[in-house]
Amino acid sequence: MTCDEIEVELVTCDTPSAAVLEHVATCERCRAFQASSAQLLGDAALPALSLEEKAKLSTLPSRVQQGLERGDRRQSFVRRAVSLAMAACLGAAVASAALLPRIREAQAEVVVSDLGFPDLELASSSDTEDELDAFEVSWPSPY
Amino acid sequence: MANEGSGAKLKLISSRAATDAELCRDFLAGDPQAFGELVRRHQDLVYRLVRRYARDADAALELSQRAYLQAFEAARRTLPRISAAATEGGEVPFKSWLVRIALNVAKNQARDARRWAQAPVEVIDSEKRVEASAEGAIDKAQREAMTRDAVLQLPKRQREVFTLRIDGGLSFAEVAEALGITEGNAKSHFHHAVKRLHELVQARLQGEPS
Ligand SMILES: [Zn+2]
Repeated sequence: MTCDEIEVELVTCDTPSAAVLEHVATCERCRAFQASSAQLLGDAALPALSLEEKAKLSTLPSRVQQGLERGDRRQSFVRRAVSLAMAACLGAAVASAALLPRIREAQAEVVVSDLGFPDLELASSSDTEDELDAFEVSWPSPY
Repeated sequence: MANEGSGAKLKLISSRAATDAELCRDFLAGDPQAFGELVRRHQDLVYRLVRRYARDADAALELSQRAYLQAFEAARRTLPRISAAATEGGEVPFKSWLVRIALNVAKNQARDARRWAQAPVEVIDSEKRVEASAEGAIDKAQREAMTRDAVLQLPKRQREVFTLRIDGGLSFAEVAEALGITEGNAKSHFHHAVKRLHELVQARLQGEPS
């Protein structure tokens, strides 16, 4: 085994093999690494959880539950808002369709598409779903 | 919401611990018991992972909550797969999601904290103390503060492996599974992390910019 391989085993195995221990006993470099890495890992470790932290941690399930409920309420609010907006657009489109003959009479050169009203087909279920998706909170992928 | 069906299901599987897949499926079906169990099962791990990046216990709790909410949202999005996995006795990588999300949430928090110039007290303290004790020996507390801060300076993969092992207490097999790498790879990253950490701490002790 090389010194590098010995180092890997020293920091990753709880109980190094007899071969590793034998090597360390005769290799100054690996002995120094063993001592310094043991101190380093001890220094890097965080202190144990305090009683205060443990008490706070026990409230986590209810906090997460509240967070989920808040998120659900927000989503249903967004869905309602989108539905209302859709209904308003639909109403405006219907109204414009009713006004159309009169507008045509008044301004024969103006075409409906120039008025900027959404297509009536926007109210179809598949398009509405697409709109809703765009409003959903985007969570990072776990991957 | 709390339907009797899922309650009965929990009782049926009470002779053995329910898998994460079963708990996820039951939670998504509206079972509050399954939800509570799923949070409690991993809450220590999540909290210990985000703790290093947080200013205090409240901030760590907030980060833990955020990690869980994002993991549950990921679970909701993949409901059909979860149901199939639970029915077929398979496993859902809920713990891996949670671990990776927790690490991301925590790291983003550290980045935001830096943006607002709210570096953890330990960082500021350790820098002051190095100056103050230039000619004397650095005591244990100072060395610890410096080392803990240096962990946050490690390259991403090394830091992830290091914190999963040291803070999360995961075995190298579990670290590898959570990060989608081989166990040998996880050990190699850990070895490199230890060596890099040693260099960072030595540089700080000698007053070099890291
Ligand atoms: Zn050697």
